[in-house]
Amino acid sequence: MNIALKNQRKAGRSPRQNGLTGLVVAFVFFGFLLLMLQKPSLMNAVMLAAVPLGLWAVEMILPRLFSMDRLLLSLVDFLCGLGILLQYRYNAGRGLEQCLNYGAGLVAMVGCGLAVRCIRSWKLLVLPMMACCCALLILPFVFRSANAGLGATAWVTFGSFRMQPSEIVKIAYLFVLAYFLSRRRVVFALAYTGVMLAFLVAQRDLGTAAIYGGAGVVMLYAATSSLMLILGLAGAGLGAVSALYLLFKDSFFLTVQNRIRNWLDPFATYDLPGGGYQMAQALIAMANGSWWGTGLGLGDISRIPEYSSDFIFSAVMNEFGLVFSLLVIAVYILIVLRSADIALRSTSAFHALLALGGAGLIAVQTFIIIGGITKLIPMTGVTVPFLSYGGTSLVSCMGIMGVVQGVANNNERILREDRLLAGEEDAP
Amino acid sequence: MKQLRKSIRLCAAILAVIMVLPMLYGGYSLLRYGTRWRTSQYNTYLKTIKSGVTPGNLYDRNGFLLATTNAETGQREYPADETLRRAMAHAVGNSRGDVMNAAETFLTEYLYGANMSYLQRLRQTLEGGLRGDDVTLTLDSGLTAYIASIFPQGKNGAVVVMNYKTGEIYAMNSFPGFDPASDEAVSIQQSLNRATRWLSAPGSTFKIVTLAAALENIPDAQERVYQCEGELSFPGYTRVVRDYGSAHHGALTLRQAFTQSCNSTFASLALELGDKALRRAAANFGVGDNFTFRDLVVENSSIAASDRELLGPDLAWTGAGQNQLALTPLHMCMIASAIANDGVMMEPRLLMRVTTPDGQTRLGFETNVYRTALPADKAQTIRAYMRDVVLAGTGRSAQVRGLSICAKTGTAEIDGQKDDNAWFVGFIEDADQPVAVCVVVANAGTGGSVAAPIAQKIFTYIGGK
Repeated sequence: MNIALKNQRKAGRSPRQNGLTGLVVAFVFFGFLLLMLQKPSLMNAVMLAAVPLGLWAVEMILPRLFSMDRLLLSLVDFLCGLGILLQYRYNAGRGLEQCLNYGAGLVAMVGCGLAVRCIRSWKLLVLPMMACCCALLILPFVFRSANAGLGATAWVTFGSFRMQPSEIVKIAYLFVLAYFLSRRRVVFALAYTGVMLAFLVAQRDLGTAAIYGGAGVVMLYAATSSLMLILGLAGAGLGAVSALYLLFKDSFFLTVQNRIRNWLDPFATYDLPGGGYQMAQALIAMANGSWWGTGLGLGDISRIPEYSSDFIFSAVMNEFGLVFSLLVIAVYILIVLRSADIALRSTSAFHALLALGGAGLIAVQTFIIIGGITKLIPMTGVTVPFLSYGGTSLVSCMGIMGVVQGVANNNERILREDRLLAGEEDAP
Repeated sequence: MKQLRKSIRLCAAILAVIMVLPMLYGGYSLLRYGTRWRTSQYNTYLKTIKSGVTPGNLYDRNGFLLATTNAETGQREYPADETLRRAMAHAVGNSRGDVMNAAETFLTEYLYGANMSYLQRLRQTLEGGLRGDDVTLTLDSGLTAYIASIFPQGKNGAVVVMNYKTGEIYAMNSFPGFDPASDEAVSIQQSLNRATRWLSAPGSTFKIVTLAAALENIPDAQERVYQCEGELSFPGYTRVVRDYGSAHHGALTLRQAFTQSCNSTFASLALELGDKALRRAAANFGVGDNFTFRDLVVENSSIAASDRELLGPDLAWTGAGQNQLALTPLHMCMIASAIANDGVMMEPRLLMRVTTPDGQTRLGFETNVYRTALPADKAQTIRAYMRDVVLAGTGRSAQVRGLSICAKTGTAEIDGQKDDNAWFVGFIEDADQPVAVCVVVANAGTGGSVAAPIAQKIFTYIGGK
């Protein structure tokens, strides 16, 4: 016990990672300092002190309570801090709310981590989980009126509270798929994915469907190593979606048709209802930022209607510039690579697939939304992981990171046990 | 597990690469479209960029002041001579930004010093205020004013004069115009720059492209004898191809067909070439391309409204320069320039020099090849044909003593218009005076009788210098 404890302390305290924590905290601090200098107010002063301190506390305290990968935690914290900074810069209320969302996200992260660590047998849980997923995905159809006027039928509202069930279901989907695939029940995994995708397409939430599909394909390939299977599935999936689209493009998928039109030339459809207005403004925001950005607090993306959620990355490109944005994307890539690394270190196929699937979900979501706002692919309304305003999105993304952290925790426990078994002495 | 690990590594690598793609595309878009997006009429942030900066001056190629800011009132001022002011209005624009993508708007980043380093910015602020760079345009204000004075009164149209070796635009007129110094509201008709934004069928001037396609794809095109019955009908269609003024040219060679501008011959050539070959030749000349020239925004030309295969009379009329063809006068000028410049099409340039307030050159002029439209030998053949047009064909009234002028006229029939659009494209075949001209007069008559005499005066003006 004593040795194990020491081991844990040692693993948790690598000097370089402390440096990273310092960098993250300093970045957020200087960001708020800039805002404070531009507009001195008590509120800004409180945020200037509270947010960096909070982030620092999380990075210092959390790994002691629950052993986790500190590099991954720092990277996620950086993005969350950047998210709070950007939300606060445009709307103080949203910034504060985002802090609360971040707190909820931390709870979800620890919860998911504990679930991975403590639940040893998933056999009994898988069926209820699947049932829950389906029930949650049916909910938006029940609350149909709440979705009127929106592109997709993806939301559920209780009073002023609004949530998107598909965000939470993501985590359950990850567990179910990892469970089936680790047991080589490929057909079950396929069938379940098919059902999920059918629900999402019925909700017209093609962006989220692509995230599920993309992450599913990644896990499937890792589990089976069969390129033919993946190519066949990808072909069949694309074929099915195109066929559905062509059949219903003027009725059910009218919004999708609009989005493709706006993608081809947003400026040509600028003034039409449901036209390229938002997309064109996003491109203009990117051009205004150019390579080095206008500077924090000096840009303006408020002409983009959805600037705080789906288009928040336009704010990064606008105020920090394309070069910095590339670095932010590098942080996402590091998160994905680190998660994959954790997957490589795990000893069971289930855990490996969990960590890789988590990486896949984050990666595909990032690609879809950043590709959307840079006009590489048609815009589909999904949130930017860790940056977008919104509780469900943040809880879901941090929950996924919690799953990965749970795998990391498990890896370390096994490593420790192995060391103990080998009788390796730990020098004090 | 070993196989799993291998697959995990591959998946992670692929995911990482995929995530970089949007940013790479973003960087590419920024390089290619950044200026267009920044200066877009929808960019409300432009106001913020402009605030607190005194814009620099605009000069023509000879150093003549085209636009400046009054130090006392802070207002933008234009030349005192009203004719000159009006003539330059579309190329220069006005401070309100009525003309889309005119120099005053499109060159914002130079005029308002967006390229200044932080050090320069700091120094200027300390010295008493930020000032943008001065911009010298390739335009010749004398020539532009002269063109405005000879253009038929009350007619709509456009004139472009450019250097076919360097791509420098010497004159870019659009009619009707407006006075940039006046506060009166400017109508869309007045503010439209017809040289760069007016897409219409170029009539027989497009036969240059059809001819290029025929020379490349039909080996014996020059040796054959063509029969012109004055009319060409198509089995299964009611529409026919008729020659202008119901002319009946009889038996003629390709050269004669080009100089007489015989519709039947070029219609039958288009039919023989087919949709693919004609589209390919047009694409070689830049039709259908997404123009992203550095200094000016030109509407994209198109051969037809859709990608559907052109058949029968549609294909035939396209070969004769009608049907759904949509080209701007500037693009037709570039096509003529390519013939003059041995098949090499230069990127049109409007920006000659950017100078900082303390007199240093920030940006000099550089020529840039836009694309190679056709092989040099084919261009020489077409040039010889175009010389014949002026010596013995439809362009005789463009002849200037002492200058070797090559040209092609066009008479474009536009639905719902009383008269035809008169087109003329031509150039001086002389390495020392590499000037190409495009004249379009809307609703006026034939190219040979209306547009060619205007071009003749422009050539005389240039040649007399």
